[in-house]
Amino acid sequence: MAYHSPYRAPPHINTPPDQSFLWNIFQRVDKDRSGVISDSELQQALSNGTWTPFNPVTVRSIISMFDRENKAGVNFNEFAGVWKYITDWQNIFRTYDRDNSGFIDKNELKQALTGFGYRLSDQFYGTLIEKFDRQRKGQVAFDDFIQCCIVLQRLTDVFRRYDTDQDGWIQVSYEQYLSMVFNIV
Amino acid sequence: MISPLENEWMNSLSFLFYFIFLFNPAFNIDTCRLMINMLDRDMSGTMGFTEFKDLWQALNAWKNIFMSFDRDRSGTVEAQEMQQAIKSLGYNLSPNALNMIMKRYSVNGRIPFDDFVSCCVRLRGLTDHFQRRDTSRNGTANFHYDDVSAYILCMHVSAIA
Repeated sequence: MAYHSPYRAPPHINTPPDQSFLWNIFQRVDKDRSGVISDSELQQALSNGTWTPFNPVTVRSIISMFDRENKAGVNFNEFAGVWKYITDWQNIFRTYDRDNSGFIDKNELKQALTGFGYRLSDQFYGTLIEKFDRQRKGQVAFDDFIQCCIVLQRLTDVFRRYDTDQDGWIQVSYEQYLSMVFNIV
Repeated sequence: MISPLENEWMNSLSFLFYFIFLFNPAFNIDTCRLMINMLDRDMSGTMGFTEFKDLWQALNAWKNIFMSFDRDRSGTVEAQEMQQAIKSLGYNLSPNALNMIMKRYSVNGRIPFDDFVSCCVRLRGLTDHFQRRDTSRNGTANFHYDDVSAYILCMHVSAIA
C-alpha cells in the first residue's frame, strides 16, 4: 500500500519562542510596516540555501495556510504559526539532508517520505524530483522540498477520501474524478 | 546539465510560448506549461506538429466561445456564463459539478480568460484520461494511488511559478 499513516507535522520540538523575539522578527520581515506580512515580504525573508528567490508557490501555500482573513498575508498572531511551521520544516530538512549538502537527493527524499509513512515506488521518487526540483540539480532544495511534501499531502488526503477500504485503489465516476483532481490542483 | 531531450523540449517550449503570446500576451506561464503538458500526448516532452495543430484549434475554439460571452470585452466572464460556455463545449456536467468548477475558478463571481483556458485544458485532459480508463464504458474507472498520483503530478501540478 502506498501510504499507512498521513504525515503529521512533528511534535513541537523547539521551546515556544519568546514573544518579543518573534515580534522583532515580524517587524524586520514586515518591511512596509503594514502590520501584515505579504507573500513578497515573506519570500524575501526566507532562504532556500541557494542564491535564487524562495519558491513563490511555496510562499503562497504557507501564507494561505495561516491567513485566516483572506487578506493575502499574515498578521503577528498568524505569523507565530508561520514561524513554527518553517522552523519545523528546517529541522526535518536538516535531519534528512544526511550529507549536509543543503539539498535532498533521491535517496534522502525516499527516507524522508518513508519516515512520514508513504510507501512509494522508486519510479515515483524520480517523478517527484523531476517535478519539484527547480534548481535542476536532480535534488530538491529546502523550498522545493516543502512544496513537494505539501502537494503530496494534498494528493494523498483527497485520494484517501475516496479510498474507503484503504487498499490503494479507488473506483470513481467521471464527475467524482473531476472533483477529486480539481480539489488537488 | 541539460540533456538533448530537455534542450529540444525547451526549444519547443519557446516556439510554443511565442505563438501563445501572439495569441494572448496575458497568458501566465502556468497556463502555458499546463497546455504543453496536456497536449504532449506521446509523453515525449516535445510537441509535434499534429499536437500543436490540435492545441491551436482548441485555443481558437475556446477563445471564440469566451468572446461570445464577454460582450463588454472586459477579459472576464461571469460564473453563469462560464457554465454555459462549458456546456456549449460539449461537456454534459451536472449542476453540482459545474458549481464545483465555478468555486474553483471564479474570483468575485468572474473568471478571466487565462483561467478559463486553464480550466478548459484541464477538463479536456481529465476527460480524455478518464475515458481511456473507463474500458467497460459504464461511467466508472478504477485508479491506483501510484498511477493517478503520477498522472496528476505530471499533467496538472505546477510546482514552479
